[in-house]
Amino acid sequence: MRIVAIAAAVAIGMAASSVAAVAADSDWVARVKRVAGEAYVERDGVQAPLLVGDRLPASAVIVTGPKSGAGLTFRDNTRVSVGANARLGLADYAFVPGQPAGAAMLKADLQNGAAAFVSGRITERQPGAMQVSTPAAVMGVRGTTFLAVTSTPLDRQ
Amino acid sequence: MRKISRALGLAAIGSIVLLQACTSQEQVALQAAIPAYPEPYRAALQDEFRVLAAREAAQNDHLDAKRFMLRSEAAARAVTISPLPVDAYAIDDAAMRADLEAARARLVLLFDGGRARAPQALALAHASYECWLEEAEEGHQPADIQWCRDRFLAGEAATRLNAGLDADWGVVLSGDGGHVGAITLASKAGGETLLDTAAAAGFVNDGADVRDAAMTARESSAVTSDAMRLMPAAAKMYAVYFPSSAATLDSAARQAIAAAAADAADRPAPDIEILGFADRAGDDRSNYQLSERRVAAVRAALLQAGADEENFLIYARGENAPAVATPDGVAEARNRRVEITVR
Repeated sequence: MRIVAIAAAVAIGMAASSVAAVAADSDWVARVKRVAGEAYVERDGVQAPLLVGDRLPASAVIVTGPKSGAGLTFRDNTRVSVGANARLGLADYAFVPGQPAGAAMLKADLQNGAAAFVSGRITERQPGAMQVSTPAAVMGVRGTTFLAVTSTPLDRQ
Repeated sequence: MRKISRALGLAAIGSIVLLQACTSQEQVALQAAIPAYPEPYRAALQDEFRVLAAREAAQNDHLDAKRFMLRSEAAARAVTISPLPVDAYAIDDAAMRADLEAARARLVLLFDGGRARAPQALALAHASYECWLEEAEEGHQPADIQWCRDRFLAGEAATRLNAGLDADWGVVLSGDGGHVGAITLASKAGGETLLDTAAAAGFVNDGADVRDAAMTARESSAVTSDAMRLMPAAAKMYAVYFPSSAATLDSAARQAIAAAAADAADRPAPDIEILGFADRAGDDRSNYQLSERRVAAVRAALLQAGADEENFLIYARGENAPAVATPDGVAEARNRRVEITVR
């Protein structure tokens, strides 16, 4: 009985992490480097614990609880730290290393809370190609460290 | 008039002058009686309490008039003045008490940001909250309770609006090495501002125009430190250089690779990007193959240095993305490279 329970737990754990992890190399755009407290990733409406090492697709939504947070690094070296009680949706991403004329774009959607960003090779290649949206605003990033915050109450979005 | 003065007894001279002035509508005398205080919020709070004192005096409630005068004076002087706790009043109506508790909790949260950016509105909310407390304790004048409560709600809403507390905002922070960049902040309703100095902040209210505002150090640091807390370490690039037409690693190359592997070992879930190039001597096809061989050499050396293949991201780019621009056919040492980026 105990063995069954452990096996079940392991199976559930594997299922949960497979939601977050993406198999194909080209499908993921950012990797989770740091997690504190309660942090989750939503993919296709399914929520799973966010784990260090998870590779996230451009459609993932990061969700954090009270006193929690997460740190990710994108493939172009852009970094983001998500604060407590936040929702950050990765909306669109294009970057291929070593192709200076190639597409470069990072779009993220801060639906709740605050997140800090340090831009990377995407804005070096194309200033303004990184955009962070909040319910009321759009921030176009020319290459910098910055903070985005939304205080728009969820019920007014 | 004399009766009022007697009722006040030991009240400060300022209060007496005020009450006399209030009943006679002489605002000038009030200004003289109470010292001005430079902070706009305190000055506004002083005024708001005076309005309440005058109102009570006009209703012949001299005790309450005196209480509000004392609050006005407290606001005028450099004394910490925070919204009085609900507990300090005997309020029988449990629902009313809960309403007041909630109002106070919201009011306290408005001070960060509201005090600097919306002092008038915050002072209105603060004084009106205490007015509401006072009337709720008396409990026999629903119209007065309503009057105070309405003013509180109006002050609260105005503070949120004027201070941008319901807004979305962006702040430019000093980056690595003190570098300050720029963001544009656009309202979805139209309007855009450029933020390009350290701590420059832009606020966007629902549907309203973009506004600039300087963040107070305190509020900026509180939000920033939470949001920055889990920022991953910056990516670092290690360049490995090669002889012409070769994929061999000299000692400098091996040192760079060892440093990259050591760096990766210190990071959680490291990505190790291996990006290989050739210079523009020779044809495209052979240069592409050359960059592949260089990448393979670096990959093998990284594995030897203990790096985990699971973290590798490998790209060969031939001669098409030179670090230093040259005409085609030109040999250039700085272009014969593999860039290892550890992040």
